[in-house]
Amino acid sequence: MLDLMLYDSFIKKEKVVLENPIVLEQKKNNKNWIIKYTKVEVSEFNHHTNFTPAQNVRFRNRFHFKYFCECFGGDPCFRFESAGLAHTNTYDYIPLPERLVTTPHFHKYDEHGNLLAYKTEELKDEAKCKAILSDINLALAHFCHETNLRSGEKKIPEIGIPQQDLLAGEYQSGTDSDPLQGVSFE
Amino acid sequence: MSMECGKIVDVIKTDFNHLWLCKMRGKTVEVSTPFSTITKKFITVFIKFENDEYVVSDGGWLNSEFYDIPETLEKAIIEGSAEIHEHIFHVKKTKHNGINLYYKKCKDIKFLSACVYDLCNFISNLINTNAVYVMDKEEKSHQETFQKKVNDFIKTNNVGRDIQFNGTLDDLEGVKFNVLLKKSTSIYLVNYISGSSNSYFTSSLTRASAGFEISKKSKLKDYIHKRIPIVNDQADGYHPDKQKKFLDLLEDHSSCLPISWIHKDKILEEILA
Repeated sequence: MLDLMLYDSFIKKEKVVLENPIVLEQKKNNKNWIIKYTKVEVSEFNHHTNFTPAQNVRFRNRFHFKYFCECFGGDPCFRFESAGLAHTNTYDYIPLPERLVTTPHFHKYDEHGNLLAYKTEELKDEAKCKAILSDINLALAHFCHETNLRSGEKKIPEIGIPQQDLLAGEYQSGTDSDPLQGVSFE
Repeated sequence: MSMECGKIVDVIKTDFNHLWLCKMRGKTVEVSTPFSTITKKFITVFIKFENDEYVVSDGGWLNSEFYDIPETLEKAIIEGSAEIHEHIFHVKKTKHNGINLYYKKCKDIKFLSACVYDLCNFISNLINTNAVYVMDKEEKSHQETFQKKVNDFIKTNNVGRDIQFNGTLDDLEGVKFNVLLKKSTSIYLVNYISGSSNSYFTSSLTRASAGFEISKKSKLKDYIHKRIPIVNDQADGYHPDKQKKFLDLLEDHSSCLPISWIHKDKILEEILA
C-alpha cells in the first residue's frame, strides 16, 4: 500500500541527477526508443530512485520522463508524457467531463492513492505549452521545476542526443504529422 | 432533483459531448473519442476523405506503446486475436512502413458515425481482452512469488514433519489450503492473502475466508486446532480501509487475527503454540 506522506515528501524533496547531460541510448528491446536509466539522489530519502528520460526516434515530439522508486512499487511513481492519447482518470470521485486529460500531462498519486493525470497551469496555456513542447530540454526544465530536480551543479540538467546513426529511419517531426499520409486503403 | 427522463438524458449527453475532441493533422482529422480502455486511455481515430470515400482508421496506433499495453504483451497475442475482432466488427487491415493500420470505409457520410463506433469498439475490445490476459498473468506471477516466500519461511523454520503445501482435507477435495500441517492429532490450516490490485486482493481475501468457513463442515473439524491467515501487507493491492468488511469476515472464520507478513515471526508463534 502506498505511503502517501512519504510519496508527497518525495515529490517535494530536492533531487539531484549526477549525469549531465543525460545521453540517451538505444533501448534494448525496442529500437523505436532511445532511453537512459540514471540514478537520482534524493535528500533525506534512503530508497533507490531512478530518473528515466526517453524519446521516440521516429516521432521526436514523443518523449517521456519518469521516476522509478523501489518503495512505491515497480511502476513509474511519477511521469510526464509529451504526446499520445488522452488519459482518462477513471475514479468515482471525478465527474465524467473532468476525466479527460489530453497530452502533454503529468501523472502522480493523489490523496486517495490513485495515479492521476493532470496539467500544470503552464500546460493549460496554449502558447506556453507549445513553447514547452518545442524542445525536449524545455520540457525537461518544466519537469525539473515541477519535481525539484537539478544536476550536481544545481543547474537544470539537459538531454544529450546520441550519434545521428542511432536515429536512422524516417523522421516525422511535430505534433501535426498525418499518420494516414501515403497509406493505401484498398 | 426529479427523475425526468429528458433532464437525465440531457445531463448525460452534455457530459459525454465534452469528451469528443478533434484537431487537424494535414488533411486528416484526429478525433479523440469517449471510448476508453482499461489501460485508461481514450481511443483516438483518424478520418480522411479520399477517392470519394471516408476512411476511419486507428492510424497505426494500435500496435504501439500508445495504449500503454505492457511490453510483456507479445505482439503475437494482439495479432492473433485481432483477426477474431476484425471479423466481428468488419474491420479491415492494411500495412504501411511495416505497421498495421486498421480501418473502415464508407461513401456516404450518414455511415461515418457507425464506422467510428465500430472501429472504437474493435480497438477497445481488442485491447481490453489482451490487457486482462496480461493482468491475469502478472497476478499469477505475483501470487507465486508471495507463496514461495512464505513457503520457504515455513520450511526453513521446521514447524513439523507432516506438512502439505496446497493440501486438502480428506473429505473436502477441491478446497485447498496453502499449508495443511498435522501435529499429533491436531491440524493447522494456513491461508495466504495477497494481490497486485484491490480486486485481486479482495478475491484472495474471500477465497481464504471461504476455505476456513468450509473447513468447519469437515468431518475432521474437531481436529482442526487453528485456522491461520497470513496477509501480504506489502502488496500493491492491500487497502485495509477499502477491504475492512472482507478482513473482518476473514477474522470471523480464523483462529487469530490476520498476521501481517511484516510480522512473520508471529506465524511461528501461532503454529508452535
